[in-house]
Amino acid sequence: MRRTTATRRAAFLALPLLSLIVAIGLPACGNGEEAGNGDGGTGTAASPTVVEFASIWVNPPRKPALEKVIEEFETVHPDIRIDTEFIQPDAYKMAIRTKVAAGEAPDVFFVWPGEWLWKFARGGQVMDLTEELDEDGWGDRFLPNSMPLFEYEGGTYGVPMLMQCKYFFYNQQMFEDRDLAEPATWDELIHVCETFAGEGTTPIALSNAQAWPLHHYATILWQRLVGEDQLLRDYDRVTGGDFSHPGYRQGLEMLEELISQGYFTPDANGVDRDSARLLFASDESAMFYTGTWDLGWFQDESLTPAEFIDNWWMFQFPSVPGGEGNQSYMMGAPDGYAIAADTDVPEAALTWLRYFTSPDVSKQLVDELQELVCVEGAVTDQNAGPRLQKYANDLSSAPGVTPWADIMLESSVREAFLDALQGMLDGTVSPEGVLQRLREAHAKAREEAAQE
Amino acid sequence: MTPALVVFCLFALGPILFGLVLAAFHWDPVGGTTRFVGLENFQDILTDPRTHSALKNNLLWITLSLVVQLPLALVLAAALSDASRSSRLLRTLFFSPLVIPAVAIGLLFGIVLDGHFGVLNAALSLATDEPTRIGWLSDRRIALLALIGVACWQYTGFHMMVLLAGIQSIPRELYEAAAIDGASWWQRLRGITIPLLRRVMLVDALLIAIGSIKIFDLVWVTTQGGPNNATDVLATHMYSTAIMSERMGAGSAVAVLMLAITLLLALIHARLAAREGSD
Repeated sequence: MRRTTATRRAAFLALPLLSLIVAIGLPACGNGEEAGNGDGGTGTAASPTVVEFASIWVNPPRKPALEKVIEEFETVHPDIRIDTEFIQPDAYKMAIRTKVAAGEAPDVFFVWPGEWLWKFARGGQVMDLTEELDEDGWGDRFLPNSMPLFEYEGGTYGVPMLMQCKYFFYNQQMFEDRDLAEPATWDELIHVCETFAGEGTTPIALSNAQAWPLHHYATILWQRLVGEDQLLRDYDRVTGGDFSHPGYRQGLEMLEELISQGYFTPDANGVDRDSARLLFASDESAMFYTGTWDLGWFQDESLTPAEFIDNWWMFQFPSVPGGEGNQSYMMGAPDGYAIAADTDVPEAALTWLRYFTSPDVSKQLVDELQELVCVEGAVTDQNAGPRLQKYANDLSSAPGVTPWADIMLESSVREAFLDALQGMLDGTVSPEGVLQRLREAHAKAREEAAQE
Repeated sequence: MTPALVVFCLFALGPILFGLVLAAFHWDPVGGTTRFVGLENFQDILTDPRTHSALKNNLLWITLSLVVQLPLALVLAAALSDASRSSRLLRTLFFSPLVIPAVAIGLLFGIVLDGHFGVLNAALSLATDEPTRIGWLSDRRIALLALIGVACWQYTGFHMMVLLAGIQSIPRELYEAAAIDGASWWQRLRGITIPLLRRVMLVDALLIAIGSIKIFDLVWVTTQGGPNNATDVLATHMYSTAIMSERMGAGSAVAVLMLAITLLLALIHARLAAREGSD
């Protein structure tokens, strides 16, 4: 009894104190452990140089494939040890910023290119690799269209790894049972949706708990209607436009049609990605508009029911006749890796990154991941399955790839935009309301940029 | 005394002052820009509808926690205050959720409450013989209530213990005398326990209120403030402003707002306690 009273007193004193610490201290704290071994990257087999490496490859088949590559690398380079931290993609966006802000950036870390990476470049947080890429043709290894988003004001701040594009994955059996063909135009897509919705089946699986999936629809519709060049001009945080082209509003209104007709998973703002994948793989939804990062997922028997693995195929986002964009454009972007500007082991970090992006490793990764590695010659008839080959062919014949908006918009603009789109999915924000919030946030960010 | 002061300055006062200063700046640690903006961050967050809805959610959280947890904890404490084996066992059971980390609880209830594949809906489907698909965490109308429910499940046992400590300090003779006079269990609760427990209940109510203002982990792990900000509270709002939108200054301004509310609660408590003491 006496002890309980004491506990109560302690709790009474400690709780308010803790709450203050938590409330105020959260943005400011970072831990002070960890120290590079500071030898500039010349380790020995007995005391190897440690390269900290941050990856988002948390699931099979990616994780075991990466672990295998690292193991092989360490056999070839016994003087270097790769210390990998695996972080879930959505948590990663926050984790890496916190680490970098606290001066604890890993030596080599995963990045999305575009404004997402450029911000790190502006802050002097990532190494300019221009000279290194010129040496012995390292830079020439990569697919040419995968490089531009890593370039910023004359420097190159990362190297591409996987090229990701969006596709509608669809359930072939469900389409066949209803005599439906792959829709090539927007009206045909609406017809497919009507058919499924008419029988009480949700046409398209959607998870929007992380807020970004829905904006891919907006991005590609804008590309179709507004045009890819105007879109890039409007995104720019310094010179950006005001999103005044009528196609912006039209695109959002078309998206609103999908929402109001009930073509998406209900309450999708509260549905996470794994649930959406499961809804698609269990015949609950006929289509899933997802990225090529799921090519591996839906072909991996530990993640997807075996009978479903052969029952899906993919088509590109339909064209919107009359739109001002090139209707054959794809939407997507590469992902990649950067080296921290303040790394203690630049040589070892470079050695690892060169190895990781070497032609042999790339071929091996394509084989195991069934994803598109941005290295010339990585995808071959031998190591790529039919779906990946289709993707690689589509990509090489596409006139261009428009990047998704979230890596191109300044972070506060992106958050305001994604927030407004979640509202639109809930029916609480109109298409015009989304545009208004996008424009306001964008104008504010431009003002900020002008004061730098 | 000195070591305690050093620890306090380092881990409490320092961060508080740093947060106060930060709130007056536009600071982007990744992009590397720092600019003094005065009260602009406060103006921004005070006019931001998301701050209003987060504050409203916190107030609902406090209110429902008080309404549900305090009476429930009181009844449990009164019923389980004896030293019998069954009471001791039940006390341990009710208290046990508190020792589970909030992250584990969040993950656990994420599985239980999932709208499509959740355990609760599966159980309801079995019980009602009809497919149940309630989006406990994905329907914006009930997500916040579901989370408050989880918090009540987690913390009621703790508040039971706090009140129990108070009950056990009430002299036994009072209850014995009342029993001789033929007072029922309910009459003893109303006539002896509640009046003599007022101070402890006041402290406990403050603990509930402060706990509800700073609630973060459960929300972040389950919904991250979603769907569409329906479960956004001040702490998640602070986090997403500072980290997701990379507006450290504005995030700190939210933190200062939380500090102000917490201080206000502490002040109210101090006034009430002082008045109690002078009775």
